[in-house]
Amino acid sequence: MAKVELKSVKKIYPGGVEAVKNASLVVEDKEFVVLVGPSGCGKSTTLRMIAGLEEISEGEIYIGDALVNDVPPKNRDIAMVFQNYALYPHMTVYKNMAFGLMLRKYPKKEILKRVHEAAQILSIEHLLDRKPKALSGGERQRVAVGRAIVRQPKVFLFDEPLSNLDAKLRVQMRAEISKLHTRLQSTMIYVTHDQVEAMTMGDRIVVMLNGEIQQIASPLELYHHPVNKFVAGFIGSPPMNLVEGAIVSDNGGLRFRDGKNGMDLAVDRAHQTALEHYAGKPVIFGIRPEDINENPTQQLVPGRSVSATVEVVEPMGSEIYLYLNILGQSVTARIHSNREPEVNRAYVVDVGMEKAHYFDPATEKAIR
Amino acid sequence: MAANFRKTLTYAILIVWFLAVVLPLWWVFQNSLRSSQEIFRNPFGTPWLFTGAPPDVSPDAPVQAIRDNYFNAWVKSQFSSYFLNSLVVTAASLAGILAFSAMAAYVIARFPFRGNRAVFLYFISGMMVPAQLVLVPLFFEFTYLSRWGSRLLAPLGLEVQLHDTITGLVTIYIALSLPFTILVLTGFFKSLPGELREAGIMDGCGEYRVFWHVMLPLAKPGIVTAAIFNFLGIWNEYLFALVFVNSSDNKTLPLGLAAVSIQAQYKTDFGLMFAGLVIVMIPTLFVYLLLQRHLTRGITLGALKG
Repeated sequence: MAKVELKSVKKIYPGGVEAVKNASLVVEDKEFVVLVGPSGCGKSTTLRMIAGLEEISEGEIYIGDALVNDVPPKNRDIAMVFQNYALYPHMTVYKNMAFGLMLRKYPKKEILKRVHEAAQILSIEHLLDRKPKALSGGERQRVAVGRAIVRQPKVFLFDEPLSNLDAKLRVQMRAEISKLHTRLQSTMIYVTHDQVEAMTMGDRIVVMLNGEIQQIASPLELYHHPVNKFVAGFIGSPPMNLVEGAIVSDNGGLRFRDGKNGMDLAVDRAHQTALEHYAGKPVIFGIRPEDINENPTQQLVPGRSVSATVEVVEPMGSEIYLYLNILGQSVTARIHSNREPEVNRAYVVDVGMEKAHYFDPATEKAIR
Repeated sequence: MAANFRKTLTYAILIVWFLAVVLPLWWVFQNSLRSSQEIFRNPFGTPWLFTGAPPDVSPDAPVQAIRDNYFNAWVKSQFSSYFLNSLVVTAASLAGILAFSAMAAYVIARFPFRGNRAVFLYFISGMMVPAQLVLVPLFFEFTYLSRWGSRLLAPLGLEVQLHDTITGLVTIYIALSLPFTILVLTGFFKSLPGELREAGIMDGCGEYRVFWHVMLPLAKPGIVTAAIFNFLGIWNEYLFALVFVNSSDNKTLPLGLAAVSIQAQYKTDFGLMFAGLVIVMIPTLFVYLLLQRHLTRGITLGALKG
């Protein structure tokens, strides 16, 4: 078991494309860290540099206390689970799992013991004599995980391991990998483009965009305190509403108004100090769908509620997603209500201003 | 009705094809069981061995014919020695061809180094040169190579002799087969998923082990295909063997077969010749039967999600 440290790591491809720009990150021993971001953000490249499958253009990577820049993958003591499993088709499940141990010249008894232990953990003992082509997608995925855990490596790397599974299986395997982490107590680095996977699995999440790390934080920290507009919009489903507008000074208090004055909301006391400098300047106002609620009396409260038109109603069972139109501005709300609002009717919602986020339109950074 | 007709036609064509392949083989085999005398009486007749000898010849004649044909071919006409030579030449050539081609093809297919395409085209261009064209230049080249090689290796007490040796013949066969084999195997290695290499590397393989333990076993259908084609070509190769091998000790089966029919200009022993033909054909049939199931089998299924 070991911690993994990246110091100003860069990946520059021939031709000058910078896939990873200056990534610094410490993954503590036994931690489960998820790298998340849209495709092409450099998350997989970062993982592959830790694995040793990609050369590091600049910077240093440490596994344990050892600098591994020039250490070949086989000597890094890490195991990796690939997106498309990459099982050896000519070997049985047993041999697939035992191969790494055989190469390292473990005694036969030890190999047998470890493979059976791993197979038991993953409940694939009955599949050991089969070839990969005789397995279902979920079973192949388990074998791929099994191949990693028999080695008992210092660090596990997962490269989008669930994206080839169907939705139901994905949820199931997600929980199993989390359980595995608790059970094995080992360092795991997990790459995904799915923010739900990231939120549910990671001790900490690293959000990346265009080769740059945007924020490293625990799931809830990320959710409640995103450092910039991208993180705010990327984490959470449905995503946070982002409305362009400006802060105006009004009788000593501050208000947020959007361009068409559809929204005219009083800035909460907690945000007053941070926003003082922005009086008269444009900002981006962010509010999560669950922080917009039905006004029980349907009476417009100045500075706190907004009149909107309901465009689409999506009942989810425990809650209802509403797609609202506030004078041309689309806003999503997630309400708990027993009655469905009618489409194309005026509808008054309360905005939880104490939960609002504000971003600088120029830097896109959160204003705090 | 139409479907029925098509089916009938298909089978009719297949049956004709089957007969066209099997009848000559059967005819050769049948005549290898007959003496020349018997063959001359009726070249397409059933051997006396099956029908019983006619009254004007000795009743032992049918059995004697078989003994004479195969014994004379194997011992007197030195087919035993030719057979061994052919076996050694073919085995050594195949080993060399497959080893070199597989390694070259793997690197061409998997590693995008500078000049990759040029190397590939260089190998493939070998297929554009008719083998007969290189016959004469190669003869002289062998003379030079033998001379300079011997000088170079003299301190080690080694001598290089490419003319009239099995080594020389094997060298030619390997060189001539590389273009085709590399073409076939490059295509095969390209079709294998690259993630398997990375999985192998993560499991602790170096590039060599990835090649031996992961890629080569997966390329088996390609290797077998190449092996069968090369086997047939080399086992039956006549022209280069004729030009580069002179001494009887180093001759291969096709040369031996030719010797039987050419040398005895005035009295050809047809029974013996047919027996020789059977001896030449048996390994070919055997190899084909043994390996043909590999030809069509794709074993990469299931490597990736699919």
